[in-house]
Amino acid sequence: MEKHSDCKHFISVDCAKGLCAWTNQMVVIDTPPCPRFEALPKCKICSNYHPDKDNMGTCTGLPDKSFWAYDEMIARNCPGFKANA
Amino acid sequence: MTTNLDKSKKQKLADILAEKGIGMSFQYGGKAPEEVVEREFTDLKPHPRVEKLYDLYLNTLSSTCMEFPYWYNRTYAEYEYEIPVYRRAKALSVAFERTTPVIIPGELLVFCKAPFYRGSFPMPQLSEAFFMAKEDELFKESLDRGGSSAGELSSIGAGGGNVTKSFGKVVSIAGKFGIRSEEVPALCRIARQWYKKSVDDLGNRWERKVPSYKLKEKIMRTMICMFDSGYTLPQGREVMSYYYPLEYGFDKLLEMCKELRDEVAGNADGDGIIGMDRLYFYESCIVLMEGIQKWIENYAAEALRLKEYTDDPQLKADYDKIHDCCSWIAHGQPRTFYEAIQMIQCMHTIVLNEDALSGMSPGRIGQVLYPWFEQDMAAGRITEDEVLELLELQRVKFTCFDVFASFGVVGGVLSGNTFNNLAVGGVNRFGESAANRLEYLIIHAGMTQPCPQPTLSILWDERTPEDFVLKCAECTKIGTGYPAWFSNRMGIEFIWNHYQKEGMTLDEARSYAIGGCLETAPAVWKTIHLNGKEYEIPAGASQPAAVGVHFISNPKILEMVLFNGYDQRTDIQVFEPHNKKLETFEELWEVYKDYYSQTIDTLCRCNNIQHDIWRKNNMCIIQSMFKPDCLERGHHIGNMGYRWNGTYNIESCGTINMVNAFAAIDKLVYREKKYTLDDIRDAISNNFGFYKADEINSFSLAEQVRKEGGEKYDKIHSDCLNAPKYGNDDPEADKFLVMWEKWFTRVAAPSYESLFGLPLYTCQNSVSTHASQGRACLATADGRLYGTTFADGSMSAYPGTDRNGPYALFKSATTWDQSWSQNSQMNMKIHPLAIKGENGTKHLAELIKSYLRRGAHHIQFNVCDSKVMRKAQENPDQYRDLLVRVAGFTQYWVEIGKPVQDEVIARTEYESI
Repeated sequence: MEKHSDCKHFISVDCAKGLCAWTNQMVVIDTPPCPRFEALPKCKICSNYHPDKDNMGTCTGLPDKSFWAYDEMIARNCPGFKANA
Repeated sequence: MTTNLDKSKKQKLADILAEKGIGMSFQYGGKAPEEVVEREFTDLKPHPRVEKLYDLYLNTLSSTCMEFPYWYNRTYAEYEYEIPVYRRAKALSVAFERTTPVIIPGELLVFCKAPFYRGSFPMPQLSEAFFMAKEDELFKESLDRGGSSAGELSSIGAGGGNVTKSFGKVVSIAGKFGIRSEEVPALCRIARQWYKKSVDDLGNRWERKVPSYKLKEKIMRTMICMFDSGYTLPQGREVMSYYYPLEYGFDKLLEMCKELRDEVAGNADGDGIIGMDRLYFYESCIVLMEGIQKWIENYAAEALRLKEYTDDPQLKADYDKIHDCCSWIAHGQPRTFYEAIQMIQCMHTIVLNEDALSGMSPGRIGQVLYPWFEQDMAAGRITEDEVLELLELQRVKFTCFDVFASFGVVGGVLSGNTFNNLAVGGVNRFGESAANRLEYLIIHAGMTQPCPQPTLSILWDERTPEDFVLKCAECTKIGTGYPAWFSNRMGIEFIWNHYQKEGMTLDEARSYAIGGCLETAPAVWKTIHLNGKEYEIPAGASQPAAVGVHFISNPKILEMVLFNGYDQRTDIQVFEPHNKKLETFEELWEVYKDYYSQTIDTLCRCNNIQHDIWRKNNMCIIQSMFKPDCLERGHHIGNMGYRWNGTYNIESCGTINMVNAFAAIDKLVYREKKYTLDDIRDAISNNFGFYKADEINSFSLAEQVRKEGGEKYDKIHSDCLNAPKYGNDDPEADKFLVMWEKWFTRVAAPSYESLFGLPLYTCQNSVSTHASQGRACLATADGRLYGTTFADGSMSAYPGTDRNGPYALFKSATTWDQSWSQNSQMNMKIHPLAIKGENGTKHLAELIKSYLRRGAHHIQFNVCDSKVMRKAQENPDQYRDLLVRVAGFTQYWVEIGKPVQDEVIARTEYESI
């Protein structure tokens, strides 16, 4: 299920909450996002990421060819990120 | 009829003594009024944007995540076969480049350690043992967590921003940091990667080769010593150098490094051991600086991105300002005050991300930033009010810094503090006062925006202008515990004494500042060129000024002497039994020195190995790029690239309880022969008939509760409590302080050598260890009871025992030459009424000066009505922003442990001065 910290409009404050960039209002991470939700680049939506178990998987998108990664990793600055089609 | 409550009340020590007509007063110079008295200057407010950000901070949880560690470890693995320094540089560079920038609306100063407002992250490459030990527990908890955190946020107010327990999908680590449960498996995986490879593990493998290693283990288990510094906090307690990027900018620095790399490539230049290493160091600087530039540019891009969300013209202007500033300072020398202070924020954050470190101190930044301040003011580019706003923002931003370490380090030593010490005053190279207008504003910002960081220190000198002294005294009166007051003369004397062997001149000694709590740290003068004008600024130029042997419990060593090297608490024979009868005080003192020397020798050798592993496998590159003279020499810290390298020390704890215990034994056993040493031993073993502090969950002496039948120790306990006490200008107590300090500072410490082949010095501030180590120590012969907190620092009186007023306390404290120690520490608690109004400010300033003029090193104050602290202990949620001075630092009341809270409450409150 998507959560606020999966949204690209979310400004992270701490491990439980953040601000919505549109409203500057505090939102709790583990609550359903609003209709303006747009996915933030994370490993879990990358085509180079192959999920396994325990929120972890394998990344094959960087020069080291293959390395473990995890679902929730923010990939905004990752050169190997390719959003799932 | 007597109720149970009455009975238990009568069993408290304070009441028992009162019944016997023995006063145990925690007030001096009068009696505080019944009603609570507020501090002065509470009506001062920060600028609105600062107030808003600070409110956010107060409601922000200390958070951690795996982003930076992930990229560091992935790249580190990719470069497995590279030369260690380059491999580490590459890993850091990629981690910076890929870390997500976070800008909070309203901020003007940006950069975060981790993608949170108040974030930090684990560094298992230093020590993974903590996570490994907790792995099953954390892992299981993370998988079990399915709830939502929405409704539970309000339940974690107690403890301030500390995530003291797990909730929703947030898992608590070390009782302080919150991590998303989804990321725990990644944390455990990285921790496993470092098993048997971390600095901690490798250091331990090699320190076992020290013949006395088994003694070290016993010393640590019994809490005679508190912690290892080689893998816990290997850097810090030192002063930053912001010089190179401020003078050259990153593009020019890169160019310089490339030229130097080309010069040294393949040349040993007469140094057959490490001459060739210079090539790898310069190349490492280059790759790391490129990563840092991208990290700064990511913040510029983030500002532009956020600008698109808002129609608010002020916010749009803020984002433009941040974008333009970051775009510029990623490459060039700062041109304005705003760019310069932003550069400082940037550099400080970078340094904190390289290693687990506390006490990374900005130093004399009022003097570092002065060139930009002076020129912007003259050109009308900025107003003092705008400067004040930036300084307030800087305070909030620094307060957001967290250091990620294990529970023992964060709770037991640091009390969650990060000790970023900002110093004002002092003198310039020529011995003239260095205080300036910008420093006046820095102090004022400390009043308008009170918060723990950066903590402030004034280097008071006879030449410091009186209006500046009074401004600092006003700031002291707001009750945040800063500025701490240091004697500039004593600081310079210590620095010059110690670093002359490395070629330091008196001029250079004058550039020093305070690193961490009270760690006097050396620096150098460097020249800034700005628009054709030259300015000399101080720049930190030393190794961490407090690493080495930390912290030795002085009263615990005495306990070992009395009990033939045996620890009753843990049932461990720590030292070889001395089997001496201890028939004279001199014999007791000889055994004490012997046990102490064994302790230092073992810990010093083991710590040297840990730090050696650190410098070989986890060397510091970022600070090495910034601090003189690494770039000039082509060597990082591990190869002694810094100008000053003799910074290792021995830290002690509980000095005054040890002094008072010596005085009691000397009087009662050896001079008056009222008791035998066995009588004293029996009383100590039975805690003078009282419960242990842990059993009643109270850690101040007066609150201790007597057991039924404990009356039989009343007489000996009263005699011990009434024996001479330090802090009363009583030579019968003070002579033991002089005896101790002469040996500790002049004989013991200098006879040991750091891994850099340079002698050690003493450091005498307790941080929070006086609570933890007090808990591990039986009763002491001064009448202190088992588990109660020691006197803080090294010069503070034990609570309630300084009965003759502040000037008697000052006389006791200055019976020895304090310039032989890196510091000493004096905490006083003054009731706000005692220094009220303009006259009160002047009296306070004169009190401070009279102490420092006598040859003291340091003094600081809690200006607070003790009743406020008691109320805060009962209702922590209502006192989220109450600040107190602990040992050498200011901290939120709600973020410190009960043993320290009890000690701060119990300190003698001066009702008049």
